[in-house]
Amino acid sequence: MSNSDLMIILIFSPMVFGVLGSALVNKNILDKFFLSFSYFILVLSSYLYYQFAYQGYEPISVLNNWISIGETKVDFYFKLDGLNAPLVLLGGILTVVAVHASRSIKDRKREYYLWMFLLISGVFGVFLSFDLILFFFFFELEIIPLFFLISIWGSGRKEYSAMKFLLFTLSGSAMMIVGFLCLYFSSAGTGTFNIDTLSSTNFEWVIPSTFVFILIFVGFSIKLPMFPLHGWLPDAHTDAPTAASVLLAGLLLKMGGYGILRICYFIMPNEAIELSEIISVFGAVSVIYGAFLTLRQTDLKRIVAFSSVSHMGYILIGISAFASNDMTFKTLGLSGASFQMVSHGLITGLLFYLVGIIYEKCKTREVSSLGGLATQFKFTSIALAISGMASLGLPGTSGFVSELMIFMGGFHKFSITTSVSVFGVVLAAGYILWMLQRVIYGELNPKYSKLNDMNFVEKIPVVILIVSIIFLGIYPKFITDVLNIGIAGIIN
Amino acid sequence: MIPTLYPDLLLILPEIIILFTGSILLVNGVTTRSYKITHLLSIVGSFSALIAKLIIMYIYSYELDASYSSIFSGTLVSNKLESLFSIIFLVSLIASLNLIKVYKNQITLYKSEFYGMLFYSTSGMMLLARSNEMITAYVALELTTLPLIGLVSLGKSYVSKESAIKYLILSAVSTSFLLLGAVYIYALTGTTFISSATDVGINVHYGNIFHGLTYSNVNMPSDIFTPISSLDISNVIIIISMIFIFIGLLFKLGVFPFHSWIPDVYQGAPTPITMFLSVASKSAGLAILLRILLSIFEINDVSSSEWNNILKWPDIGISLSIMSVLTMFTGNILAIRQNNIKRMLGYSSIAQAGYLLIGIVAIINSDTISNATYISSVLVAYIFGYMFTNISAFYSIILIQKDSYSYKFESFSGYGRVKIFNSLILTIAMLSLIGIPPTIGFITKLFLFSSGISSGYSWLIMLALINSVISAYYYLRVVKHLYLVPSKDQFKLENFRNDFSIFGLILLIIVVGFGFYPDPIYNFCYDAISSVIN
Repeated sequence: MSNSDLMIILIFSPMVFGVLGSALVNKNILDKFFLSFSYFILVLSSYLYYQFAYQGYEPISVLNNWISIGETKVDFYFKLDGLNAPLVLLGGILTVVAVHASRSIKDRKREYYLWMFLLISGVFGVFLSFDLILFFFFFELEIIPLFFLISIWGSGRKEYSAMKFLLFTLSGSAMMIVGFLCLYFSSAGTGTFNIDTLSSTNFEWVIPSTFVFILIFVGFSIKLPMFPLHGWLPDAHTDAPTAASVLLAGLLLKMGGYGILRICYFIMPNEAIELSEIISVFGAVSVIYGAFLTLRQTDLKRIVAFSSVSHMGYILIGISAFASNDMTFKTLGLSGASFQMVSHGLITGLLFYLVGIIYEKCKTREVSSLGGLATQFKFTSIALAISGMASLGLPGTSGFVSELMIFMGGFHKFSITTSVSVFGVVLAAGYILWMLQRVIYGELNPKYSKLNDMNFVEKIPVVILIVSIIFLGIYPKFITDVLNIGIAGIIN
Repeated sequence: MIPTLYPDLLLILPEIIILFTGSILLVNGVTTRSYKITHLLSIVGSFSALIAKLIIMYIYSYELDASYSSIFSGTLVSNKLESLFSIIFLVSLIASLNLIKVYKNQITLYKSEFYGMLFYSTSGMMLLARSNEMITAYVALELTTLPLIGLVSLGKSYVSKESAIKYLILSAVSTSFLLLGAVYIYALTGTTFISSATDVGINVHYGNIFHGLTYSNVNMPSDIFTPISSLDISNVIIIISMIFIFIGLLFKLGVFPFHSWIPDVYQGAPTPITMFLSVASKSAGLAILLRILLSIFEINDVSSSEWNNILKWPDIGISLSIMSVLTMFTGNILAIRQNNIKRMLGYSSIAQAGYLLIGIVAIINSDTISNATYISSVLVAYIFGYMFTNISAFYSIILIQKDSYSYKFESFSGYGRVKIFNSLILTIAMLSLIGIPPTIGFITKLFLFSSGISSGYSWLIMLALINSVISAYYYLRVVKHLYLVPSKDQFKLENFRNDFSIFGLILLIIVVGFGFYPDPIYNFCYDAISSVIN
């Protein structure tokens, strides 16, 4: 079986097995079935990554003319390249984490797994598709599963949050699709939505090109999310079940950053250079504003959610280095941004998983009512401390590498905004350390003294994530080599 | 192997079968009054008409040449486009027969008449889609509408009678506008023929109304606000006649100022008829509108200034696009507050008419034949997808109403966990109406919107997409009531029943399957359109 077939299996097997598994498998072994299936996904994605990074295979799968209307052609075109290979690997890891986090779900399990694996299918489809219509197809495919995951299995104001997420995302995709169609009709009769072809086309714009860029960019930055379009994120995160939070923060937000690089920057480099200054400003505002908002939060999940806004701002700082004339800094900034996507996916995935565990045991997420967990929950506390340190960018963790790369790349061209955003790290130290101090140390609430720490199965995803965070922290070359191949493709 | 004798009669065989079945059903109504016979007859009649149509289409594409493209002295045409529309009508007829079977206890005693009138209306639609002459079109339109009014009135409730009267009055007024417009055009051009299809073997000379307008030396004003006194009398008449014809046809589609009948009639009519109205009646309006618009492309030089003067008259495009925006906003905003699912779907069908109008605007503004072909095929594919989506929506609504005795949203809270299959159909239908993958609605809507951008109406598409987002809110309210709102007594989990049905499965496979692989539909539509235009 060739690598291209494996890639197609990676995209469609979650969908197929999600539907069949939830319909046919006996309820008692449903968890085990999907857990083993998630490890299958992990193995598959790691194998693809290995093939790409060390064997140099570049799987391409094309089915020409998926839809053809006269001269208009839409191809069924998937490709693994340097930019999406690490994200595919991240997808495999977080699938395992999400399924582990789902074991506490007791109600309506069949539907739950159906929606979750549809979501995962959509994520892999977005990362791997190289045709605008196909990309949009998968981009829209993940909306409804997440809507259901939040509104059925969530907590708090779940229906409100789910609807808010849905309307924000749909508005984003509405703008995006106008941009895509404008790209197509400006491409002067190439008759294709293929991203590779479009990137080497001389456009005759039907509407001003800057406007097209902004349409697509805004569509993605709602997903990212960028200030001031982040309104949906804290609510959706807070009210989502743990697994959905992990997937949302770890993978769905990355679709925004990936889309900006893959579509906006790849197809419209001139407009990207023109607008980089504004992007950089918005990035800095997101970093600082998100960090200040995080300082005000008292709910563990909201802390992690708002810190995501801040950390995704760094991605914007990194990609704005695209305007730099120096090739080194350009590459450094862009691969730093992509590295940040992977690193943030791992770190936030871990944080959400741990917060989910704490909530499950202690039945609260309020920082004020927790405290002293280190005496009772040793493993959880250590893991929380490590992930917190990674989140604030301690050397030796992946968070440090990505932030360093971003700051080095960004400083060359936009020194002021980059300098401002460096203070995001200081603020991060503030809220992370405050959280750790209040949650881990201090007096243990006697209510919690009877509870047990995580069991063996619950520890597995924590170990996987911590190992990958530290591994990437001390050996970033594992990913940056691959990313540089992808970034070189984008820049040229 | 076409018999050389009577090819004309052979080519309208499907219509003859439908009319004949309708008549037999009426006779059956006064003799046996047996429901079983009625149902059997109608199934046989509709399926044989569909098969006949498919066979004729097959023979047509391989053996018939252009000499058979116009029949009955040119008053009717025979081509792939009308076949496509006829298939739409026949499929929605078969679907409504299926729906009536479920619904039969809720219509009045006159069941045979109910079926008979449905068949008459279908034959009218099929004739309308292929008519090539304004008087024929008018007669076919009346044949479509009058039985529908009867059908609307056959519900058991009082509301049904009221809505029938509303429908009667409003459609009579709108049809008379259409007739008046046709008369004015006739006065100017001396012809009532829509298109000048090849007249091989037929010894009648006739032209094309657009040809007629081109040769009658009229110069269109460049601005709709040009004072009437400064114009030639013939110019005023052209504007008036165009507006009248559009009014008559846009009424059928339910476009903004002519939309007010839709919610009442949709709510009042028996549900199978609501489905039939929303799918078949709307497609019929679109079919004749397309016939008129596409006939322009038979004029040899499309980009010539004469052509520009007539329909590319900028104000028609602008006014239609403004109507489209108003239609979308009216439909979507009013639908938000609805609490009755049939009425909600009524408003949603107004919104959908707004989307359809985008395609029509784009056709009017397209400057090359290939562009017009693209846009029209995309538009027809949209109607195709809309048909299957709406059939599944109404099918599941009828089943829900059978269980909960109401169309109110609250009445089916918790239904999703008791009747899994039926709720799945309704959910998929709602997602398809919003335009979320993997459903047929997503891909057809995407390409319909692409047609607007291809003809330079980006702002219209942006407004349409805003409307799409608004519509997500009320369509998902239905889904929310199915799965999220706590269940009521009759939908407790212990009442779980298997509600699998073959008809539902077919609908599901079509809506989702074409969502994944829509190419066959697009090929079909593109073939049909390009055979008409080129």
